[in-house]
Amino acid sequence: MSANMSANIPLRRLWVVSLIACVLWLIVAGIVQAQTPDPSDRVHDIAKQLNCPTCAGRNLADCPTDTCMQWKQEIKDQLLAGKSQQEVLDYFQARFGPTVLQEPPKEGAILVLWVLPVIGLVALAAGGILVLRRVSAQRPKTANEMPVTSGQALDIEVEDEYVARLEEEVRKA
Amino acid sequence: MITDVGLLALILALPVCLYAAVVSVIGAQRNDDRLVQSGRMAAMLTFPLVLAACLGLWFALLTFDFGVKYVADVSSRATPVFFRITALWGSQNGSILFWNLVMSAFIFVAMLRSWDKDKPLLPYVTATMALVLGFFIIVNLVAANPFERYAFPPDDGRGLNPLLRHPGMIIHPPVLYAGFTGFIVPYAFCIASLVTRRNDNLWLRSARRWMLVGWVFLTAGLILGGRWAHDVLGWGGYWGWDPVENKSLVPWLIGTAFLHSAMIQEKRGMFKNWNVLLMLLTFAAVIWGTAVVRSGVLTSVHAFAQSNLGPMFLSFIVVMLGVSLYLWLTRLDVLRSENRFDSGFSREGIFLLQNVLFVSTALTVFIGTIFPIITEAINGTKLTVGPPFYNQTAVPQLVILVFLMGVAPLLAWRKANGVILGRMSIIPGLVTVAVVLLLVVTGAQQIIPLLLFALCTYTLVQTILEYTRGVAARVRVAGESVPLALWHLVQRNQRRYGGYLIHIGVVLLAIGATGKGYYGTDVLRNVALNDSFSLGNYTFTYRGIKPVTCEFTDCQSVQAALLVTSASDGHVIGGVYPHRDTYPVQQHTATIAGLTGSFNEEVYVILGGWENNGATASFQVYINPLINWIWVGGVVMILGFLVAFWKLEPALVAQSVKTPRMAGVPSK
Repeated sequence: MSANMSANIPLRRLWVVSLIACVLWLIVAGIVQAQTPDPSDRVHDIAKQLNCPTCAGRNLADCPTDTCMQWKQEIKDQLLAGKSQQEVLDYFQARFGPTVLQEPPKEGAILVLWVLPVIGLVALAAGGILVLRRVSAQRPKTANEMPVTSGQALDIEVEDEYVARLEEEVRKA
Repeated sequence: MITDVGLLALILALPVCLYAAVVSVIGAQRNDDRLVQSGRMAAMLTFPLVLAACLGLWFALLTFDFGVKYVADVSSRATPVFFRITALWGSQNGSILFWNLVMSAFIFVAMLRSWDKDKPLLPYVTATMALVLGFFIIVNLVAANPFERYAFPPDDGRGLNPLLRHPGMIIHPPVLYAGFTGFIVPYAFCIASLVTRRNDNLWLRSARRWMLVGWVFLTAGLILGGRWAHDVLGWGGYWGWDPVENKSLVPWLIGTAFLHSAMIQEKRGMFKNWNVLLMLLTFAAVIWGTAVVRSGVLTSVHAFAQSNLGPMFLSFIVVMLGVSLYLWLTRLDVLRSENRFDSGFSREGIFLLQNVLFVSTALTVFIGTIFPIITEAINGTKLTVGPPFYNQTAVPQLVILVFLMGVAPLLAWRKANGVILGRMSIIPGLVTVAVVLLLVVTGAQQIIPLLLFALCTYTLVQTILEYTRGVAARVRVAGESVPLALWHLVQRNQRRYGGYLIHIGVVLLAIGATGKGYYGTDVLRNVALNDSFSLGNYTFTYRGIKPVTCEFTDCQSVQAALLVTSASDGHVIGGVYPHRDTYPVQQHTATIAGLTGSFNEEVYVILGGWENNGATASFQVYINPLINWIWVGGVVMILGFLVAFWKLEPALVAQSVKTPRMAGVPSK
């Protein structure tokens, strides 16, 4: 067992080092990304954040109808008049209400929409844990439980428990 | 005349359903096998009856009987024969009839199979299925009658909705209906088990297999729906978190949770209550989803109906869910776990986490879908809950699920070993690091997609290693050659290795979604004749527009031509020919994309509009990296299903359940 352990340590170190290297790379990559501005079409960017009245379920940029073309023209005009992206979005929201935004604002009554899924997840997880605790506490360990499989039960040298499980299945089959 | 016979058959199917339900239950109460068999035959009879109704409607469609309102709504003299056949499910009333056909077909097949082992459940399975079918037949007769006639028949019909004239739309609805209605069988088994107060795995064994059938159809339906949306809607996407997509996803998520936790019950005798609840919720989600599309309470790209079905469906959901939950709550003590839970860090523990995430994701999607209905009811605001909401709430949960797919198979039942998990992660970890480095070197910069690709790589490698480790073990212990070992490995445990193949499909799909989601770009450009614009590594040169012959006689088509060359070295990649089809009768314009690019990078071009006979034209160009991986992933998932389902060894079935014989019911 101890010989086995020491043989594993370099591998485990390698694993940890690789993981750290990976995380570092990702951070560097993230910083590089953050510094590169996206030079894409500004009208298009705004259109992507708005709903089109004629294409249910698609954003303004993806909707090819005439009404949407007019809206895109309006965005263009306002940008040419010197408005910022946020100002254009605010204009549309003021005119058509929050329903015009692709992303429902996290404020007012609409906040409920954003909070409910979180409550749902927490409640489900808590419920699961509570029920399991109760089950674990109430049920005594019964005699006919599945035995924990282990490599010792087998007559050949096995690398680990996992392979032991697999090999046991092969024998049984 | 023949059409009227169809209507008569449909009317007749209703009392047959009621008879099947009543007689089965009486037969069970009195232990009278003849009554039970009679109920079974009656339930089977619904299939030929609904089929006759469909044939009646098909006859009307094929003979241009525009006196029938439905026929006039979905076809015209110009509609080709093929689309007159598929028009059966081209609009609300006919599609409910078709839904009933698929549902009764499932009932027929379920009733046809050998019942020796499931005898104690049979009467209540019959009754449950007959009652549900009965409800839909009532809907069909009362609120959505496709046989309704005009007093004065019009000369011609309106023709089929142009959006539905696509191969994807021809197979998509039947596949999706098979997915939805297929869940009726496992649901009926579940109810039957509750009614008879059984605590064994008898229902689960049949339910799991039928669930898998429904599940694969639903999976295929979802993917075909995405493909259809991609090809027809002219938006470059495949999934828009649209209400109609969501209503299919919710039962898929809960059903997938069930398929996994059913394993725990079979292996460890745990989670019995939970499995029943998941089954009941899956079917409730199916009915809810149907109600959402059918009642027209939500607007959507896919919904093709406005109607007054809402109250009928709502009352049905209340009754169905009420009865289901009542049965569940009164049987909670019967469904006690046989084993105790040892540790959270175990296969059971991770299955529980996975179940929580599946149900929570389903709940999230459900909330997002119904929230606009609620706000509209309260203060009249028609809110749109678009992709940004789901991307921030549902997607992270799905991402964790992808990761769990890679880890779960490594954990032992009862209590897992962290050292093993770490050691088994070395190879996948190294591959993941290599892939990430490669991506960074080739220019990938955003951190989130890199993390997602890393996750996908880890899970993919880990899942593939499940096969290689198994093969290695067989080679070592049984001394077999590698191909033979693989064959035996899969053959001996089709469910497991089919399941892993499905996991691989899911990972491919996730890779595709990440590629399209994070590296997909699009641009809208107005260009003059023979001018160019660039996006990514592509240069597009506008070569003009011309009217072309439309695929159908009731539309006019204008096609544009663009030359696509490489932006770096100028070599010709190909031509794209997007077109706009206008349907004057339906007042609809279809924008069909022109496609080019490679397997890994699709170039999708939409003709937005033109001025001065094409002197200038506007184009929306999408570059969709890896989107084809999504379709491949879907196919792999279906292959995985086939591996898991194709041939289940009888020995395994026999040992997984010990059937107690019901007193008084002689077995054949």
